[in-house]
Amino acid sequence: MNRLAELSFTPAGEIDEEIAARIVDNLSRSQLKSYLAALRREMRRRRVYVAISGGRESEVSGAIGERYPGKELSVYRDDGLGAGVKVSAGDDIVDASVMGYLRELLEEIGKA
Amino acid sequence: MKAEDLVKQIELKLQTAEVRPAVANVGHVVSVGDGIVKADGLSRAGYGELVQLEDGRLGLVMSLDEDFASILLLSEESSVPEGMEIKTTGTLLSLHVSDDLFGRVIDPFGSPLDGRPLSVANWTAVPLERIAPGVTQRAPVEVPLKTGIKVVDALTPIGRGQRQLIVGDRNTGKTALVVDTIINQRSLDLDLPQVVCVYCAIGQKRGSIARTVAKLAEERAMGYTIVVVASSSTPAAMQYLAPFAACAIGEYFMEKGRDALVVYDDLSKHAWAYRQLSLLLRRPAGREAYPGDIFYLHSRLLERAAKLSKANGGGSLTALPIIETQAGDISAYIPTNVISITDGQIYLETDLFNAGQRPAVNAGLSVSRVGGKAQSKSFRQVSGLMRLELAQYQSLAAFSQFGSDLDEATQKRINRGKRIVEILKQPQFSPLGDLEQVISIHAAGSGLLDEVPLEKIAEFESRVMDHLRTSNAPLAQKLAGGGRMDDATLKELNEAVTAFAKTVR
Repeated sequence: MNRLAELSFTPAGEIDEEIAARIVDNLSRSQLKSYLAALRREMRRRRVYVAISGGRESEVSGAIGERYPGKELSVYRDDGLGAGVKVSAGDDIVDASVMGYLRELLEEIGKA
Repeated sequence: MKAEDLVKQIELKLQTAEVRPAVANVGHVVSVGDGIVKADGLSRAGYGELVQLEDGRLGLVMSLDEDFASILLLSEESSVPEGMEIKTTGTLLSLHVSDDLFGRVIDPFGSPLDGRPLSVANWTAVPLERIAPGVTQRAPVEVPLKTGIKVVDALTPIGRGQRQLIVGDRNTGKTALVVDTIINQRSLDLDLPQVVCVYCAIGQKRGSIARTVAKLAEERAMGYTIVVVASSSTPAAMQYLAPFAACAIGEYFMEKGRDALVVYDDLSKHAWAYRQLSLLLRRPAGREAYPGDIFYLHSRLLERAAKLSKANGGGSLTALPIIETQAGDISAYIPTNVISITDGQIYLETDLFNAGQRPAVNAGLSVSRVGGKAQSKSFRQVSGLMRLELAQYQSLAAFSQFGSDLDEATQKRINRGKRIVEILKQPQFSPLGDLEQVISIHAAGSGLLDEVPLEKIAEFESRVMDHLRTSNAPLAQKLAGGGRMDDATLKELNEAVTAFAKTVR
């Protein structure tokens, strides 16, 4: 299923409609569920989500885009971070926000 | 420095904040059932790694598939919603250990279960799973671990660093034997260093565990004992981890150069817990539905028992695993596995137990492969003769029903064998010192008790030591060292014991 999901995308990162249609037509209902899960995972893998608090989206997204070449960048504003930025690339999360720092601090205090 | 300069310095420091972004590898709960969480993502999780759920609860990665990780929940599974975030921690499951744990009853994560707060000061974090010491780090097993039980110390002696299995049906005295062994460590026999004891109760009823702990406390054994508990009412994950936690505690003391004894009571239930987990993890079932790695599970646990070389501190970890058999079948899957892993076994038999021979040790099926070297010299000297007499008696015992039809030599041998069997009986919670055992075994094995009536043997044994100490103190002192007895000493001992034996006829 992972391979099918991978093949459903064009090199430009768009869905190849012809291949996708062939896959959807030939899969059973349960296989289709697995394909959907694999497709979601593949989308997550290809896209980098960047949450930024306050302005400066274009400035920050340019710098982050250089770190993740070939990946689609999805930048959105999240004032809940307090200040800073949170980047989600696949399963990896890099949290450089005030809220993340405070959460980590609370966990450390809890452990102590 | 002026106050203004200091203010400027602090202001400068505050302007340059150090940014340390938190990096995490995350996944999300896909399904939950029977304490197993299936999660997608977690692409960097490792086997055996600790993971943390969004609400702070912990889990252990038990298998990694192409798309999912199967995680063992280390707490109750209530309210783990689908989609909950899970993140890797990059750490292995570990336990905080220090001397503060003595006298305490804890669960496999180190939380107290005895109703008292526990604060472990100066702790060391020890991982539950570790690779056993290598060949070059070890030394031969040569120092005895005295159980205080005559039949064990004489026939299947245990050395410090040995793995000795205790196997038998239910209600044959397996736990009683290990509890006696723990109690006997209080006596510091033969001037050997104190043995630190770890009693690990797996899948037992809480009432039974409470009775054992109360007995250990009553006998003042809790001062050097730590009890690790995963009762039958705890999740299978806890029962699976309990012996590894107990072993990790024992290793901590071994690495500090001390002698540790870990009792696993019992590994049959541990195997059941692991079978349950493996079936829930959908691992292929093998013989008796146990997973294919059930042998490795116990071998990697018991291989951690060792006697370290002097260069490595000289500490030791002795393991006494217990296996419960069904209807005396020691050729079942788990018993044969553990028999082949350990350095010997003590086989307890229901028939002997019901016949009043307690401890109900079957001398023919019990063996110690390395402990012989760990006996004191005097003990080795007297137990060899007794073992021979006992073996001859057992082969002749079938004829004993013919009574007077037997020739005199055979009758004499049977007569002596009966006295040996009688002397090997020992009440619970009354372990004996090395010297008391040597005298009793020597007296029975060398025929000094042949004229003492069977019903008087117990009386003889209870009084002979006091008699020797009062009537022949220099001899008692000479024997107390545990060294080999020369002919003159033996003669003197024989005379003293024979004279006393006449008084109890």
